[in-house]
Amino acid sequence: MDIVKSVQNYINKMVNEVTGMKVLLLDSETTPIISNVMTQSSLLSHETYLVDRIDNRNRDRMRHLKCICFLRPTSETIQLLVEELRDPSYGDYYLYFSNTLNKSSIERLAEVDEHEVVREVQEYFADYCAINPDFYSLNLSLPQYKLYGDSQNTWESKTFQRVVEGVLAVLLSLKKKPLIRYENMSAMAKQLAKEVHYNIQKEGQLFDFRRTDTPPILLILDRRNDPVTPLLSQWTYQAMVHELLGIHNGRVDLSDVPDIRPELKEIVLSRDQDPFYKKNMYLNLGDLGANIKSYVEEYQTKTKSSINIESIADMKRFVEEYPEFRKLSGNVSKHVALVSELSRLVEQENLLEVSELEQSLACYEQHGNDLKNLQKLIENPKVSDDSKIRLVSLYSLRYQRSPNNAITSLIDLLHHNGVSERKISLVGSMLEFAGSDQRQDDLFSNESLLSKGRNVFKGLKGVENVYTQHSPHLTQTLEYLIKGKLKETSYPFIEGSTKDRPQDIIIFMVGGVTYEEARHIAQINASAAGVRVVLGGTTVHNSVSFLNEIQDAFYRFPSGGGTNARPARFGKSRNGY
Amino acid sequence: MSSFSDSNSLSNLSTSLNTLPASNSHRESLIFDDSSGLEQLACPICNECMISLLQLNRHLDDEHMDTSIDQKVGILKWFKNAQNTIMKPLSKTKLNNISQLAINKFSEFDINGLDKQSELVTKTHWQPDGEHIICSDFTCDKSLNILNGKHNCRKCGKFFCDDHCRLSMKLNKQAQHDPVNGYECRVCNDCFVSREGYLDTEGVVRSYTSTFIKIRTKGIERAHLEGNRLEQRLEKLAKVYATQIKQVNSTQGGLAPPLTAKHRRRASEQSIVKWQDDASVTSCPLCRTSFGKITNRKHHCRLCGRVICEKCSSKISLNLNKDTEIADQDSIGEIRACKECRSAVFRRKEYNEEIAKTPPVVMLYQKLTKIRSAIDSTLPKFQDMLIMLKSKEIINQTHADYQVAARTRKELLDSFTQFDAISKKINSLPTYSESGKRLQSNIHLAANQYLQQNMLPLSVLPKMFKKDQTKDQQNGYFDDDDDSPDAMFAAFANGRPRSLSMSSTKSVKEEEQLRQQLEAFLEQKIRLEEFIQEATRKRKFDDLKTLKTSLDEIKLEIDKKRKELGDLWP
Ligand SMILES: [Zn+2]
Ligand SMILES: [Zn+2]
Ligand SMILES: [Zn+2]
Ligand SMILES: [Zn+2]
Ligand SMILES: [Zn+2]
Repeated sequence: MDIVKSVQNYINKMVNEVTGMKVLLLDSETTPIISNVMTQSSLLSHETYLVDRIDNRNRDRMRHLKCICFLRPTSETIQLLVEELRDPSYGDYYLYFSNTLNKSSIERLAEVDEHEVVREVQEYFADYCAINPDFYSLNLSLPQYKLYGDSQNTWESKTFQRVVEGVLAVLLSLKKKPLIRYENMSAMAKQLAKEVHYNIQKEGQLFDFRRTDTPPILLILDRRNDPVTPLLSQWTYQAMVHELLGIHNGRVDLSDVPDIRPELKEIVLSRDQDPFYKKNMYLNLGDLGANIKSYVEEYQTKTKSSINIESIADMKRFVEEYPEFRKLSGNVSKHVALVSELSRLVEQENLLEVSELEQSLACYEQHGNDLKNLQKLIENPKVSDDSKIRLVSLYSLRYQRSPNNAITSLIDLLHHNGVSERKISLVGSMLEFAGSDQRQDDLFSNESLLSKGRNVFKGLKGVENVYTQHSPHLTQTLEYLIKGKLKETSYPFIEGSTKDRPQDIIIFMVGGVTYEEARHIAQINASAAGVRVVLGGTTVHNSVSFLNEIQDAFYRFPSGGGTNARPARFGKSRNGY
Repeated sequence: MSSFSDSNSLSNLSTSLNTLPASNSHRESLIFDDSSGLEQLACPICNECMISLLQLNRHLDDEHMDTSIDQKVGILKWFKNAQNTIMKPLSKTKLNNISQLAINKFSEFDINGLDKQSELVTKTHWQPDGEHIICSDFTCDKSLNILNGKHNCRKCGKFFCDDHCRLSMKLNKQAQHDPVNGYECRVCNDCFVSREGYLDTEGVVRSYTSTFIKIRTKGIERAHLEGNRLEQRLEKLAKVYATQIKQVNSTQGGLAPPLTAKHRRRASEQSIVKWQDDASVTSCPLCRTSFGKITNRKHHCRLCGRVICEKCSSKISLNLNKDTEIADQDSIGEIRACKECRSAVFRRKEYNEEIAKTPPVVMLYQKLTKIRSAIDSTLPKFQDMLIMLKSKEIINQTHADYQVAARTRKELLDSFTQFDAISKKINSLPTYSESGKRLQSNIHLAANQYLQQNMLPLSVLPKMFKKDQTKDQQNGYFDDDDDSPDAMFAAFANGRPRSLSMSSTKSVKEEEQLRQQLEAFLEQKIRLEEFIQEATRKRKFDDLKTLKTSLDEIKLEIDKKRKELGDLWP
């Protein structure tokens, strides 16, 4: 199960099908699907010399080119394609659709193809963005796709349709006909599970695969069962870049970084193209810094230079002073710029201190101590308002049930320290959205005496790294599933059941996944225990996009929290959310 | 291309090639990289997917024992790839910071429970027990004992240590994989992953092509009928016009009022197709613009009779002989027709005419493709010859095999030169459109990419052919006139413009190395000069002295390197 390869295979098949000069015609949703896994040079090597959008009305007519279309079969795209075929810009057309095509669309297209330019009509189920070999996203983000309908328990219907199609495409591209399990308490997970199951039955012929030793499992989870993971500061490379800067279709926008050089305003992070990234994407900032340092030093010894690099700032200066170096080692300077921006932000926003408290709130029951630290940080002007909201949210989620919690006084303290009313309302929304009534598992291990006892023990064992103690709830769920111990009462099957330990697991998280979870999945896969896991979700969240989604939803809900005012965008404007 | 970042483009590819510290290994992997990644390794001969060298070894023994030499080049390549992947299992071993405990949590395996059931599975194929047995896993050299464990894989029968034989799969009594009726058995990693379909990355595909064509054919027939009907009307109109012209000619002398002629013509036009009533239409059916008295006047299409606007209609010239298409002189008048009728009559004809036009880029591209396929078929043969020469240690230029190889090499270099020239020509073709320009420059880019990938492996060649350079020149056997392709080759290998690399006597690799050193020294010199300036300004005379000594040393080194390179540039 390598989801990147699966998508690459589809695309290679498309561009290998025909020889000769070709143009690749995409739509707004298939463009990121392709650009996530293909490089320009690999397209070029398959004689694909032009890539264009079907909604681009100013395409030149080039009838000596063959045209490969890779499109989502939405009504808008079919309409554009109808217009294209009526007056073809290119010679031959090879039509590939990223999902199931309905009968009437085929008829419309066939009727309009009077020039008989269409050579192939096929469904290739590459209908999701493959980010890592074991990590995918449906890229459904605001404002185009709203997740929630009129409450936090209902789907927005257009999004629901897209999600069903996306999950089916993942299964078809991996050739899995799974048993489906879902989080019992989540109405949305259940609805999705049912609909996916219904479609698998309906498309019986498509889902006719060879038998496997144990049936593959599709596990549908809900972000609301673990609202903690997306609220935490991240310290491993891929996750940290997304948390602090945002990764969008493999690209990072650095244009707001002070004194950034023009060629680094937008950078690409690609596992396939960038061995340094591939090697370091799961490492934490400390190890990463050391690796970057040795990368730079290696060059340094080569030039027998005498500058002593002690800090990332030194590295940056070294790079700045060295136009020649810069020209030669584009890749290294890209990572140096990125890592130094990360450390600048960490420094500027006191993130180490913030993270330490976050980890404590996420992992341990230490009320008195945590409250003191939290009050101190709220009063610290260097800590951003967003961090303060995240901390108070974490506190509220953990101590919501404690009779002597200080949520009200903390909210007052936020007011006193100038945090806006709109942002503060998020704390309440968060509790309504994913408070303990909304979660099915004992996320903080503080709801029973037994788990409380275990928790105390956990605190005594000592830790390797205070900033990375937390491991997402998902890993625990998955551990039970792999050992065949996941309770059917909490995670029922939609139909059938098995006591076998699964070997292939596909996870879909309603409400978005995080890079931290992706990293844990990568570790499980690397442990080579005969289990393969692929993780994905509606989107890849960082704390800002996660809180925005909640805020957006709560302002729309009829019962909605807070005022009727338009939601204020949470977060730093540089993220462009 | 807007959505694809140019950092993937070739220029970046070549910079990173030249500059990454471990540039040699990087380049190695790039040479043979088919750019679709190589973690999953396919048998070079039959393309079957392989997981490990062990499995390939076995597979090669079983399937391809008597493969011809020319395929063995591929195997060599493959081993190179495999080595690269095995040497750097990047993300797999480097996953630090999470304790090993966390990982082990997932790999706990209740393997003993399995062994009972697996007693039913045949053991006849098991590797016989012995004294010093080591683990059969390719990456493992543990000797098997109580400490390391000692297990027969129930499928392949070989011995493995604990770590490499802890997975389970279902086998039937004949030790074949059987997911339905098999028993869970302990197997090695290799057997586990080489189950049929386990590493399949080909997703489901569904084709609607035949359905589509069936529907289309029906539609096309209908359109043909419609087209024919309109064509007939067009012919009739031509005839009517012709007779009326004759009549006008014959009554030339008289003073027939022109208005009458127009009325008569209109009447005959309406006899062929009934005209729609003016009053019943308020807006053009094609573009929905409403009609006015002056601004947007009503017109009738002579072929379908509908009322349409000026913009949505055009004039079609009438010819008596419908086969003469270009002959304007045969025109006997023109009629107004709407867009739809016009395209129904002419669309097919016009489209086919346009398709038949071949722009120059197409012609050149065909040539390019031809040369490329010639190179693609010659290159492996040549590599084969090289391996043969090497293995037989033939360095005597008079040897027939050597001469054949030298000739092939020359051929290849000529092809590369030609290929390069055509791609440049394509790039410089004049074009009218933005897309045309992009197309041409991308063809050029792809051609460069191709040259880089395919000429680099040739770097072994000049070294070998020039090992006895002096002899070459004395004997004159080796045609050394091909400076230009060699120079081009070096340019590509360096990723630098051709003009910079002029030495053809040094092997490319050596030259590359020298240049890198030289560049490093030059950089250092510049920096030293900066330091000296600074020291002067700050009046640090002690520093100044040491710095100046270093500068002199560097200058000496630079001169030396330049001489070695035979370099002329300052
Ligand atoms: Zn083979
Ligand atoms: Zn085996
Ligand atoms: Zn072993
Ligand atoms: Zn009109
Ligand atoms: Zn008409």
